[in-house]
Amino acid sequence: MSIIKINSLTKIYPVGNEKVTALDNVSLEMEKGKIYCLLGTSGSGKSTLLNMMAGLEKPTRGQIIIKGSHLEKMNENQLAKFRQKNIGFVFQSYNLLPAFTALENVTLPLIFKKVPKRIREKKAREMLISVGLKDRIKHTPAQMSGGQQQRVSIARAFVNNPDIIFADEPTGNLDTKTTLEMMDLITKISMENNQTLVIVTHDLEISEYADVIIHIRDGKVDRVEEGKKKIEYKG
Amino acid sequence: MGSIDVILIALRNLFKHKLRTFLTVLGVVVGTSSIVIMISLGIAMNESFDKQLDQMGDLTVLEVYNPAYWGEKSDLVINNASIGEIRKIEGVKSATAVVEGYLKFKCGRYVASVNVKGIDAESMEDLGYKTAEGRLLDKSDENQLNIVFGDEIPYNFEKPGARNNYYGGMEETEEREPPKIDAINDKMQMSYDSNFGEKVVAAEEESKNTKPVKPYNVKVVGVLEDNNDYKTKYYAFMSISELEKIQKAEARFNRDVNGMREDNNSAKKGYQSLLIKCADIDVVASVTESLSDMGYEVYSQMDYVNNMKEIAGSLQALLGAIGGVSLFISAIGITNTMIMSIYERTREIGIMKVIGATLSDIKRLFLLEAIIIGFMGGVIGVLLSYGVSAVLNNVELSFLSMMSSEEGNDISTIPLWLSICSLFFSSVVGLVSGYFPARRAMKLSSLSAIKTE
Ligand SMILES: Nc1ncnc2c1ncn2[C@@H]1O[C@H](COP(=O)(O)OP(=O)(O)O)[C@@H](O)[C@H]1O
Ligand SMILES: [Mg+2]
Repeated sequence: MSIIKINSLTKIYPVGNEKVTALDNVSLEMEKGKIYCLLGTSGSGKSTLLNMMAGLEKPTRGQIIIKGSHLEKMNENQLAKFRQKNIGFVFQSYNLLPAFTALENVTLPLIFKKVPKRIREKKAREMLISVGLKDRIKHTPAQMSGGQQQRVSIARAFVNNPDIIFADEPTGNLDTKTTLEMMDLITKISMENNQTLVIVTHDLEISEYADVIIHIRDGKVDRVEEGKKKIEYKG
Repeated sequence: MGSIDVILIALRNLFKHKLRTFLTVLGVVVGTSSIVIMISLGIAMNESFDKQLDQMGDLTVLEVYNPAYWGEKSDLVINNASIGEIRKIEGVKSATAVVEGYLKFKCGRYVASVNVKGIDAESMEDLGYKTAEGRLLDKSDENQLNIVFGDEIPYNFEKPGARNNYYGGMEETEEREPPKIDAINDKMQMSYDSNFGEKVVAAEEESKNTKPVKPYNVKVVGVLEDNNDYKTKYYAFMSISELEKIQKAEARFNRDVNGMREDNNSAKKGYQSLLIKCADIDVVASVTESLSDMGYEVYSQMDYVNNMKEIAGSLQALLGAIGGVSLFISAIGITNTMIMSIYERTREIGIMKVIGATLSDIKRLFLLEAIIIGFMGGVIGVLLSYGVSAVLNNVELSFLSMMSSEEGNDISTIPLWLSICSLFFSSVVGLVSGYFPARRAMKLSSLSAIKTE
C-alpha cells in the first residue's frame, strides 16, 4: 500500500498576464519506508511538487493523498496538525530560529505538539546526540558551522518520528565531504525508523542514495527508475 | 502549544531585541504614568474638595437675608408671619429668625468682643449644632440669658488692652495657649457698652459724664465642638427675644446718653436674616427654589458646591484626556513595534508554521508579546507614578497647590485601585495594539515567508 498518492497534480502560477505551469498533470505513488529522489534541473518543478506534498501550497488541480487523507481539502489548521503528526521537513538553508539553542530548535515541533517538557527535552537531546551534536546542544545557530546547522535541522525534522521526511536540496549549501556525511546520516535514520524519505536534488551523486529516482522535467514526470542504493540497512 | 511555552517563547523573543523592547516599553511607561498621575491629581482634588465640604458645615442649612434690613429697597419683609409661611414649605424642618449683635463679655479679668446671634432657642438642635461641652439652647432658654459659645470664642478672652490676634490664623498652630477662662463654670458678664471691662481714659470718662452701663449677668451653658464652620465657630448664640430686649435697651441708652435717635422702623424692617434647616440634602434644591419663587434671596452653600463640582469635573476630564492621549500614542508605539517585529521575523513565522505551529499558536505568540510589553510598561509606569506623586506632594508646585486650595493637602493621591486598574488597562492596550499585527503574522503564507532571504 502506498503512503503517498498523487493524482494528476497541476500547479499554475499567474505571473502578470502570463501563466507559468510549474507542474503539469503529475501522478505518482510512494511506498512506506522507501527513499525517493526527485531529480531534475533548476526550475523543473521539483520544489513545487514537494511543497504541495507537504501541504505548504495548494494545488491548482489534482489530489494529494497521504495516509488516506486528502491534503488539498484541508484548511491551514488541519494542515498544521497533519504536519505535526506525519511530516518532517529539511530545508536547503537550514532555517533554524536564531534566538534559540540547538536543543530548543529541535524541541520546537514537540512544543507545538504539546509534548510534556520532560519527555520532549529527553527526546530532543537524544536526537541531537544521534546526529552527532552531543557537545553543541546549548549552541545557537550563529555559533555553528553550516554542516552542524544542517544536522540540527535534520534532528528537528526527525524528532517527532514522522512517517514522512521531505528534504529540499538538503546539501545545496554544503561542501562535498559534508554533503556525503549528511546524506549518510539522513538516509540511515530514515531507514532505521522505516520512514519514507523524499529528497529533492539536481545532483546525480545524491540520487544514488535513493531506492527510486523520479526524473522531473518541465513540470512533468519524465521517467522513474530504480536507484543504486549506496547504503543498505543492516539492522 | 501550551500556555507556559507561549509565555516563555514570547519572553525570549522580547529579550532578544532588548533595545527595541525597551523603547516600546518606555512608550507605555510614559503613557501609563501620565494617565495615572493625571488621575491622581483629580483624586487628590476630590479629596481636598470633600475636606472643604466638611468645613463648609451643614449644607442643609439655608440662609435667607432680609434686604429691607440692610436698607435695600424691597417689598419683602422678614417677620414672624413670613417665618410661619416658610415653615409650611415642604422639606423645611425648621426655620428661625436671626438677629445679630456685637457685645462685650467679661469673665474675671478677661474681656472679649463677640458677635452674638439671637436665634430661636428651640431650633438650635434642629440646625444640627453640636456641643463639645455643656448643652445646646432649648425651649427652656427662651427667656433666659443663657449663651452657647462657638468653639473659638473662649480663646478670644484677653486682658483688657491686649490685642486680639485670633483672626491672624493663630488657631491653626498646634501649640496654642489654652483659653484663659473656663466659659461654662466661670462667672460671666455681658454688656452692649464697648468700653465694658476696659480701662477707660479719664478724660474720655469725664466727657461722657454719665453713670456706667449696668452689665447683664449671663450663663454659658455650652461650647460648640470644633466643626470648621466659620458660621458657628466665631459666634455666640442666645435666645432671640432676649437679644432683642438687650438691643432695645442699647437703643434707649444711645438716645438718652448720646442723643442718637431711636430707630423706630425696626418692626418694619423685620429680622436680619433667617436660618432654614431642610429635612435632608435632596430637598435643598426644591426648598431653595420655593424660597426664590417667594422672592427671597437665598444663600445656599449648594450653589457653591455645585459650581465647584462642575469645575473639578471638567478639570478632571481635561487631565484624563491628556493622559489618555499619551496612552494612545504609546499604543501606536506598540503596534508599530509589533509590525516591525513581524516584518523582521517573517521567515521565523514561516519556519514555525512549517514545523507544526498552528494559526492560533502564531497569533497567541504575537498577542502575548504585545501584552507583555503593555504589562511591563504598566508596572514600571505605576512605580514611576508613585515616585512622581511623592515628589509633587513634597515640592508643592505653586500652580498645583493652588488647585488643591488647602495647604498640607496632597496634590496627588494614587489609591491601590488606580494602580491595579492601570496595570490591567496597560495590558489591555497591549492586547488591542497587538491584535492587528498578530492577525497579520498569522495570515502570512509560510512558503513565501521561507522564500524571503
Ligand atoms: N511563487 C511562484 N510564482 C511564480 N512562479 C513560480 C513560483 N514558484 C515557482 N515558480 C516557477 O515554477 C517553476 C518551478 O519552480 P520550482 O518548483 O521552484 O523549481 P525547482 O525547485 O525544480 O528548481 C519555475 O519556472 C519557477 O519560476
Ligand atoms: Mg527548488
